[in-house]
Amino acid sequence: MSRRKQPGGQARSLVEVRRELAEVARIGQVFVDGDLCRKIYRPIGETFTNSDDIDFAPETCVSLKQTLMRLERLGRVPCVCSLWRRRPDRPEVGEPTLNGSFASPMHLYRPPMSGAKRKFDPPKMFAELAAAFRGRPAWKLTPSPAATVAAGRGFGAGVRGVRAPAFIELFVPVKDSMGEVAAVLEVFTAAGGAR
Amino acid sequence: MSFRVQWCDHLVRLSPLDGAALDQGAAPAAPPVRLVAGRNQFASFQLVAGPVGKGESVAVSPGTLAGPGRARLSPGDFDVFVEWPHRVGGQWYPDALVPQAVAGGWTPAFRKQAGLPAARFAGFWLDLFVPAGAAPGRYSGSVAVRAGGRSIAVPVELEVLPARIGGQAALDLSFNNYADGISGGWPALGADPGHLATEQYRRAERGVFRSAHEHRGFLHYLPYGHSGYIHPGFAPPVEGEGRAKRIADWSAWDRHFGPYLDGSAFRGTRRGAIPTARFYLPLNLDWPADFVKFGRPGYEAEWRAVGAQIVEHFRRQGWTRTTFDMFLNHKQGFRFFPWDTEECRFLADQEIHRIFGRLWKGTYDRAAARPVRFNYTLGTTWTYGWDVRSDLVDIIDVFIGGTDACGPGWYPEGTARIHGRGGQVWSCTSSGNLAMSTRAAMWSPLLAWRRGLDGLMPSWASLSWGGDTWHAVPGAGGTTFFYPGAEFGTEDTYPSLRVKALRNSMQTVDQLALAAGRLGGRGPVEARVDRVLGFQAGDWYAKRPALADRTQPHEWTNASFPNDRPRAVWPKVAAPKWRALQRLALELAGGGR
Repeated sequence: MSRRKQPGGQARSLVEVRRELAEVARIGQVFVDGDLCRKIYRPIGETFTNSDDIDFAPETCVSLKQTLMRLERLGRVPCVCSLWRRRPDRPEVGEPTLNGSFASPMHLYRPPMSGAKRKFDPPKMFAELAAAFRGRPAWKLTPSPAATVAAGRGFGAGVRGVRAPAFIELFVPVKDSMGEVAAVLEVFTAAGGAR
Repeated sequence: MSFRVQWCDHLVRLSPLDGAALDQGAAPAAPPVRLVAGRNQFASFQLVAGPVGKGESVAVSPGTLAGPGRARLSPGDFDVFVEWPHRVGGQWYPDALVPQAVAGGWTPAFRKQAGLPAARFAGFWLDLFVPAGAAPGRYSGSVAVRAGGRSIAVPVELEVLPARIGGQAALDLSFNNYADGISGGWPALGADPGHLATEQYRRAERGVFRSAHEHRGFLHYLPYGHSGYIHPGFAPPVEGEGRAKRIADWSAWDRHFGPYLDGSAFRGTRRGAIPTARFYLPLNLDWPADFVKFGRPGYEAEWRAVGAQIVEHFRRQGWTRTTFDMFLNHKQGFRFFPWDTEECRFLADQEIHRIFGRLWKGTYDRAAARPVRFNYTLGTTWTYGWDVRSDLVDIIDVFIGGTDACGPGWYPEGTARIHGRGGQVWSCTSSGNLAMSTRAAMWSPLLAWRRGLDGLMPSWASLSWGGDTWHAVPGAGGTTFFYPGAEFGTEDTYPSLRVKALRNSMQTVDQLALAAGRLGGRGPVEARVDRVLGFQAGDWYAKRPALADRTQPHEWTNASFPNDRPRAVWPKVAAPKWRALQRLALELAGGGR
């Protein structure tokens, strides 16, 4: 299984790019194991309030990480996959739990380091993420200078009509064996600069 | 007050506003400048000249120092720097050292550029390199200080003792940093997405390597990020998979890094064309083996296939004087991989090193790689005490612990255990900042040596560049030991006053190590050091609280150990004691008393 070379070349239309991202997300909804998503942390690390307390369970996380990496290689436009969870102790908060090859553009806050004076206060989930947790896919266009960095690392697609650096993101629900939304899969690509 | 010139050593810093000492209990002195040094080392001093008139410039011109017989130290043996003032906490401190040839002296334009046009006292740092072959004895001469139409000859007296330190330092001094931090120092570089392939970037990078080298350390530049992403040009391209995975082409990587590994990049430095002591490889969880295959046979196959090629290539190139480090630097907080592969807090995370230990053996271990030397290097703070008492001592080559709490300061027996298995211990420590005396920086190498460690990182980062480093040095300079030349339109890297003091302390440690060799062991030297500084042997260690053995690291917070300091700390070693120690080290190393 070799790493796919990132396709370069000419810009695509936004419709075309969204279609490709949607295809990766659709396959991801089948192959990302929602039950594993619920066990991504060891119990001690479930409700961390600082970075040092985060404690993944490798026996579940490695498999999920590998699935995200495989999904990224499926895409016919360069893309990145991330998983999100609803915090068990703060259900109004959604946070990225696992990144594929690049951090989610919506990974806007980080818990403080152990001993820091800053209080842990993550924001409530944004509308698109909340929609996905309610079971509905949602698109988001996030202008961000980081899109230039992502594109420089091969995770960008030239998109006609998107001039400023931005991320095109799709959020879809991932269900567990009980049919309940266990996590949200984000599939995104960087755009900007194409005419 | 009439114009005058005074001098001081590296233990004193002087205010650019009034020329007075900024550090307690210190003062500049009237000439002559009196120096003592060994050979193959720098003797350094500062000059402060003032008050300077509003439109006046000041410059320094070293002369020849005449020594015994026909021995001479020439003006070319001096390096002259102008001290740049920084404002920290309402006070102005000198720190960045700009070569006089670049700054043009202490000029009105320089003062304006630094944001302190009212400064009246010009500060200069002078390094005098005493060559390895210099004849021991007394040298004298002068340095001319010119201001306006005046010229003052400042007499300089130097006593050269026989002690001669080697090109390699006794301690590894790692100026740790992370790619692509260098580019932050040159805004034009950052704006170009392809900048890492440009000649301008390569020249800037080489300047940092050279400056670190000249200060008895090395730039330890980690080439990848938490995701495993390796910056372009920092790993050779690979192709194929499984057992057939291979380096496709070494040429670009060799062109980029080869000069650091054969020493040619350091040609023209005072220290000489010695290969860099240590070098971070791009090895990580996702390179060269594809993490998609982790836990399956293909992962090991890829790791070993590419590893064998790396070893063989380095062997063919003759890169046997550099030690190559694998440093796994993935942290769970960034959500890419499920382990803190360094500074872990949960003991279970260390399982990843047992997995990699199996991969390491037969690929990069001493027997497999000889005569090339690779180190499996681990950063461990919270769990250091557990790690050094575990089977990890048979896997890890270099443990980088903290300083006092949780680190080598709590576990002297851990150092002995690691050494007993051929491993090394470093301390990743803190070496003060601009608001502290230079003694804080000088303390780090001494403490490491006195504890019998093998190396140190004076801070977790050495180049916090990216903002306006010159006018608003981040964190008061605690993670900035060098300054990018962009402020003066150059691609060079300039040292700080603190890194000069740190280097001078490294020289002292080198002399102590020489002395230990001459006197048949460290014991007698340590006893003399302790006597001069007024410490007992046990003062160098902190008392480990019972809690540390009763509970696991993930149960601790930083507040768990409020009293973690040993009795021997830098504020207790005043400048006169430091000077006595420096003299002692020189004499013991050179066959004196």
